[in-house]
Amino acid sequence: MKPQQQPKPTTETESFQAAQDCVQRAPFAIFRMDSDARVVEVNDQACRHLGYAREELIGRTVFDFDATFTPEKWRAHRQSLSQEGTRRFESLHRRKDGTIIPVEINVVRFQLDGKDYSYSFAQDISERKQAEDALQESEGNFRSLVENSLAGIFAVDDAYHFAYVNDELCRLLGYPREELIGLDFREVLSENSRALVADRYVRRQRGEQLPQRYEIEILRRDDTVRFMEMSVAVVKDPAGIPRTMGQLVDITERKQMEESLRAKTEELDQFFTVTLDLLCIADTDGFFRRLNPQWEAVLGYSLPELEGRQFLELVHPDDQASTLAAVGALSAQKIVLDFVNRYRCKDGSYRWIEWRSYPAGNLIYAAARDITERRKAEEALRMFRFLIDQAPIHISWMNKDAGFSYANDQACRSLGYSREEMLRLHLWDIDPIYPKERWESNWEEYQQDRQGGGEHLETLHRRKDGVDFPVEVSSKHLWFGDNELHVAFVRDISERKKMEEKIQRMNEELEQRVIERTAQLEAANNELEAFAYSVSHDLRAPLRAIDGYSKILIEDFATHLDEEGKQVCAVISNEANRMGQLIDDLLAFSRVSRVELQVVPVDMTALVRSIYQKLIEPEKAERIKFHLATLPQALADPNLIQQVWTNLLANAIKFSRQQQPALIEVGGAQDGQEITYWVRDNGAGFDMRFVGKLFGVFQRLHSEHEFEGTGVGLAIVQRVIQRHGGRVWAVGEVDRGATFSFTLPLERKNP
Amino acid sequence: MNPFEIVDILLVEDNPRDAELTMRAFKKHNLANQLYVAKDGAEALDFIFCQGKYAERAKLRLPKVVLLDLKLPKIDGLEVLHAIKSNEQTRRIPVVILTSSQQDPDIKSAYDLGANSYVVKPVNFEGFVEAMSQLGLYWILVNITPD
Repeated sequence: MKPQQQPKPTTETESFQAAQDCVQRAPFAIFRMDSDARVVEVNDQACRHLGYAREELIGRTVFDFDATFTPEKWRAHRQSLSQEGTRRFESLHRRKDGTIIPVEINVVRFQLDGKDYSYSFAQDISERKQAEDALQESEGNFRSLVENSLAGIFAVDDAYHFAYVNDELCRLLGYPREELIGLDFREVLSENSRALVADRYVRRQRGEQLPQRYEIEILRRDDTVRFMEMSVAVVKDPAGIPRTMGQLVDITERKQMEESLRAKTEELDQFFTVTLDLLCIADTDGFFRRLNPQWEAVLGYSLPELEGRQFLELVHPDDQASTLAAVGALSAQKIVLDFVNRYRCKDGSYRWIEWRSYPAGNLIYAAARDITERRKAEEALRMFRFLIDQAPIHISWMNKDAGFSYANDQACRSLGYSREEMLRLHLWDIDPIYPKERWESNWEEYQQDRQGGGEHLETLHRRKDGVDFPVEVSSKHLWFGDNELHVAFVRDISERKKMEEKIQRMNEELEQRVIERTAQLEAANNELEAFAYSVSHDLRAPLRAIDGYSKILIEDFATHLDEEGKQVCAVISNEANRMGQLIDDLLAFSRVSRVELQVVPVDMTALVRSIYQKLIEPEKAERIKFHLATLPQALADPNLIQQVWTNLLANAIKFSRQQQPALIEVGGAQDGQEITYWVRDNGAGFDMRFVGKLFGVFQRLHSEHEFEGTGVGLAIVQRVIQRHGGRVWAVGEVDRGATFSFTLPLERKNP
Repeated sequence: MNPFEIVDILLVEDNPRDAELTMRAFKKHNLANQLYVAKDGAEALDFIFCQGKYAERAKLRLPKVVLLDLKLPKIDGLEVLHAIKSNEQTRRIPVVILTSSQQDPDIKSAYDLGANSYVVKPVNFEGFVEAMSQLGLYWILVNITPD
């Protein structure tokens, strides 16, 4: 450390000299004035300050260079100085060149050698003065700014009273300034805002950080309410008292605009939400940003599942390349229209989506549509078109003038025209026999009948090479909105016609053969008839002779015959008669098979009653209890059915003749499609073991000795019933009677 | 006695047994002497129209009734019937058809040609006699022909 240097001791002269030096070099002007305001001594700075040489300054009075001093003022100055010892004031010094300099002067009084002197220290305050002027000017500007501000500006005191208001605030609140100053600030607030402002005030006092700006409702003097934005700040005035300064801006219009904008936005939002179209905001990084709810319906995902998701994940693998290309185009700010790809739904199925996308920076605004159904319809349409084109029959449609507007492949092929040629043709070009008038009247008729009429006809079509061929045409009138078309389905029926002709020829041949066969059959039948007749005729004649001659023998040669001889003759006669009966029955049986059935409704009850009455001999009637129920009416040949009843009733009477009493019961019932009739007796009956023989020709279950008969009756019954399409059967028991039943169909069947 | 002169009944019958039995039946009713038997159609026509071996029978009176079997040799019964019924002189003579069966298809043809009646010849002798007697009595004694 450097040792402190001890100050060297000085003499009185030395110290005065030092003071002199110091004065001379001081950075401010120093004047020594005597009591008569005359300069006694100055330093260098004073000379420079006023622009005089020292010799020029010494001896001048203050009035020569101070613009403000007058002798009176000097006297007042001297007096004030003698009382206070020092003074400070501002003044103006006049330099030698006449310029005025503002100065601040500090004066100190002292006495030397019994005389009064004063030292004046003058400091050039030009710069300070300039700054003060600038400040003053700036203050003026600010005030003017505040006064003329477009915002309402105010200050309130502690008691919330307006202490300052600018013109704009007066205008905003609708008060004259005089009324506003001193008015309680709260008077101009709406009820709501008053509470809000009070709350804010309290919280701000507590030191909470609150937003500087907030919206309030201002109640103007004319009681109208306006929305204003208020910003407040607490500032201290020059006296250090905190004051609340505030600014009000009328935002009513802005609010209204905001409100309408909000409404508009809401409307758009609503539209976004309710539209049936699929709307989407995505970004070029491949993420869904926002989607409307319609997507949920289409893809089955909820919006939260979709939003923020990479949409490529959902794109069908085959469509991902094209989708990336489209996103690339959008990134390059190109509009992409009518782009189609497939999106996977939550259930794994795919839907076809058609897009119209607009780029906006890295966002993509897209409207999309689910065209899956349309695609399907188009595919179905393509398929139908294909089917119609390829159908193996001629399909074409014609306009009002019978000109072809479409013809399928087969139509062209069958007629030998190209499709272009076909479309230049009219109906009469291909159908040489279709009358034009018929087309016109048909068209009119179809127009009346919007159900779409049509016709079905066979006609001829003419090929391009002039060859005609037969066709079958089915046509239908169709309405497509306001358009009408006539569709024709045409089948080449050449083959069918050939077949039809062949069939007709075959039918004719067959008919001819039937006629021939029938004639042959008739001839055979007639022959048989003739044969049967001659058999009966020729067989009966000898029988008649046998019977006759055996009777002659008995009558004419009785004397030559003993009892036994007569008995033999009786047997011969008897057997001849029996053979006659057999021939008759056989003939009857063969007739039953041959005669043509004449089927008519038959009252069976009446028929049975009359037959029974004919068969029964009055003396036997009492012995028999005959019960006849009401029988269903039948469809039958009356002659043949009469034979059936006759045979059955005769049998019943015959086989029950040993019963006392004999019971014969006839009944009938309808059952489904047939009627069953039966004849029941309590007679001899039969052994069911032989039931199969019952209906055979010449089959008998009883001896001639017990019950006479030829064994043909039941065979006739069976034959007649079979010819009617019915069935016959019998149930019996020896000595307990028998029941014979037969059925007849309700409707006549073809034999 | 000229056997032709008193003929009231002409029996046309080729079967001699039937003819004999018929005669027996008529004999029982004393009608036999008025009966003449023609053995076939040709003979019957000769007799009726007085031709051939019956030429001298001319101008004698016509039989009161003809009993005609349809099944005849040479000319059959229907031809005989047709000849009788288509001749102005003979068409009013009653002709009764004799047949073995009710179901003889020729019965209908005979009626169409103008036969007046028919009788089925039964196998049974009593029945036969009965039928023939009834016939003869009816046509000869009861039925008055317009002369």
